[in-house]
Amino acid sequence: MSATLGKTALHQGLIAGLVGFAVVCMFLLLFYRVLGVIAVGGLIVYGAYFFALIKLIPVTLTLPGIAGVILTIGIAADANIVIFERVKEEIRGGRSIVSGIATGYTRGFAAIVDANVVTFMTAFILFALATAEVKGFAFMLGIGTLLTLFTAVLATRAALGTMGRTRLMSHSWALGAGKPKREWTFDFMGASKWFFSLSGCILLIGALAIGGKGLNFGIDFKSGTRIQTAFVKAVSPAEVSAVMTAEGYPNAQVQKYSSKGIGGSGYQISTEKLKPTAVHEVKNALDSKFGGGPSSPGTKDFSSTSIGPTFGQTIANSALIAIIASLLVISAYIALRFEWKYAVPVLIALMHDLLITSGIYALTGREVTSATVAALLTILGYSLYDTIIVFDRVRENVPRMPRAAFSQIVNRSMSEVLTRSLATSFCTLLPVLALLLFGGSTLKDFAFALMVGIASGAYSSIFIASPVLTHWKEREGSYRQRHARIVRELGAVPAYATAVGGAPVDVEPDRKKRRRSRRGGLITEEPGQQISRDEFRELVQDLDVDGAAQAGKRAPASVAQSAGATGPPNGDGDGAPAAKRAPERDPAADLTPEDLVLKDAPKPRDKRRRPRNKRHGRSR
Amino acid sequence: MGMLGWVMMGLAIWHFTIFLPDRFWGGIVGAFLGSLFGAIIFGLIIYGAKVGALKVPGQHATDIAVVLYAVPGALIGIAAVYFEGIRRESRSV
Repeated sequence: MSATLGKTALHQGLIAGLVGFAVVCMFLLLFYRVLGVIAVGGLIVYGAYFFALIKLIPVTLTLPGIAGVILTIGIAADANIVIFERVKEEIRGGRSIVSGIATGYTRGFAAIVDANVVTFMTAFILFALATAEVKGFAFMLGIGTLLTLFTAVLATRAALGTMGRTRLMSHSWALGAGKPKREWTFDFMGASKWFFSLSGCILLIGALAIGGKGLNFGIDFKSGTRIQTAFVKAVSPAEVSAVMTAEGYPNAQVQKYSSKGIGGSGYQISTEKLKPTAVHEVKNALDSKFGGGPSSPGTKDFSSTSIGPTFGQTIANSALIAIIASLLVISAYIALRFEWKYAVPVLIALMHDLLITSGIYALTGREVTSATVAALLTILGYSLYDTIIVFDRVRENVPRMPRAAFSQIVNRSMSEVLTRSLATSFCTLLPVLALLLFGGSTLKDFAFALMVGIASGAYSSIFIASPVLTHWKEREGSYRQRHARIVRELGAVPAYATAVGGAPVDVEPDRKKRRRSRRGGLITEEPGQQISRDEFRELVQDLDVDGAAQAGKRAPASVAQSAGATGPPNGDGDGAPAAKRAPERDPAADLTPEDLVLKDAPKPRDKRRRPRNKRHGRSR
Repeated sequence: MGMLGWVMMGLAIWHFTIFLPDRFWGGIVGAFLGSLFGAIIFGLIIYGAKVGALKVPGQHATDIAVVLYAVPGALIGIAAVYFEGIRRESRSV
């Protein structure tokens, strides 16, 4: 490859990267206000460290490498968004600003660690197994992921810890945590049939396009030469084709080509037969045909790329092996951290995204180059990241909703993460859009693949992976029992598990408070703020403390409410809701909130104390 | 290229199994595997019978007809997993 082409593409890529960075910063500032300022600060620190590292380590910045950088900008912003959304949720739930920040970081941390570990593992395996082009991508992705953990979690946490008690952050409005403008109440699982059908139709069209049109493989995957050049005077594609035919290359593809380096009058000529040694003959023919004589050649900014027959194949094969290896390791990690049943939907969603991108490539006839392989790897990384963040919320909500059907748990989780998912996808699409607009024609195909893949990745996390998980988990005995009980009580399973008052039904899961207090950190929860106002109200509602106080020794009444919307009317005809009387314990039901929250009555202590061992375990 | 077409076709058809009652052996993931393996195996068999050798069609040999070879395979795979699921259900009852 000639230096001019590479330099131009890299220059365009860097400009696109900077524009993308600026647009992401603007988005964060607009959406998260003061938190956005901190996130932008974190991104600037990230950028500075990243620049220092790639200067420190002798690394060649390639096109796939730029893809890795762009992905990590998205991931860095995403990590901030995950935490900020948690902080906003906690503050909206009734916590103070300081307590909301502390809890938001604590609860968002596990999701970010899981997502980053998986991304880093992918990068590591790709680096170990793939060829040079993909290695560049993997290296940048790996470094970026580690830095993200540092800047998004530690640096911004330190900044927030310092600013948390200042006047600047005294109002929830400053954090964008006022009353939510929109609460999602969509039945995601109920509508999954239609989303599945949509994906099925897209894949069907893609499969037919693969058969009918096939993929347009670039010369990276065949042998041949590609020439990119501008002309000093206006020429038509037919004239260029005529010169190529005269030189003995009648099947040469001649396409208009524009970039900032070459301008708008450029052409790209691709042919499988042209050998590198014969490129100068073609150049001479073009110069003499379109120039004004030997002293004024007809071409300018002439560059050529010649590729051997095995180059693209080697890249594709090694990338394929690396992808399979990384998927195996990721599955093992997800099985360990979540549950093995969570790993399969992740893989199905990945497959969905990669195949949809391939189908759209076939449909649009865009050229598949080695950069497309890097784009597919980027899609893989992003899709994984997004699905894990969504599944993390499902995992968190499972113990909180001990009597809800799995579809209700997933619906609730989706409604909680949808805003975040839309925000992060938009945030990641911004730098890709910058690449599409400012990246020049070399990067446009690449950016197009990224755009399709990222959109598909966000979509599949919510509308493919989650329904697959729901369908699979609902086959488990405990969830079958919950489903049967809710159907028996309410006639059907409502989309969301709500109590009589319409409040969400959940219980505070048993958290590892001992470990959290040991970890310490810059921000700690305020005394009395271990649970938020909303959580306290829900606990009171679940335990029916007020009702119990009035009615004396009455059994807790929340059992009948916890899974469905309302209980059936009681039999004595007084019209009071069923929740106001002690329900019969359903033998088919699983744990109730009382089982989780109330402890057994303390056993009477044995007054007789054992004789004290004064020797304290010392041997005689 | 033929393999890509078959896998895509199998995955596309699998998406519509969500309209069926979940009685598949292994649930929706069982249906996924049935559809995928059915599409690939049937595609290989039909294409193998056509060219006289068990091989995956390359880029130039793949057309719409070759991709459509996967359809009966995917349907057979899904049906097999479904009836196996029913058989196991009735046996456990």
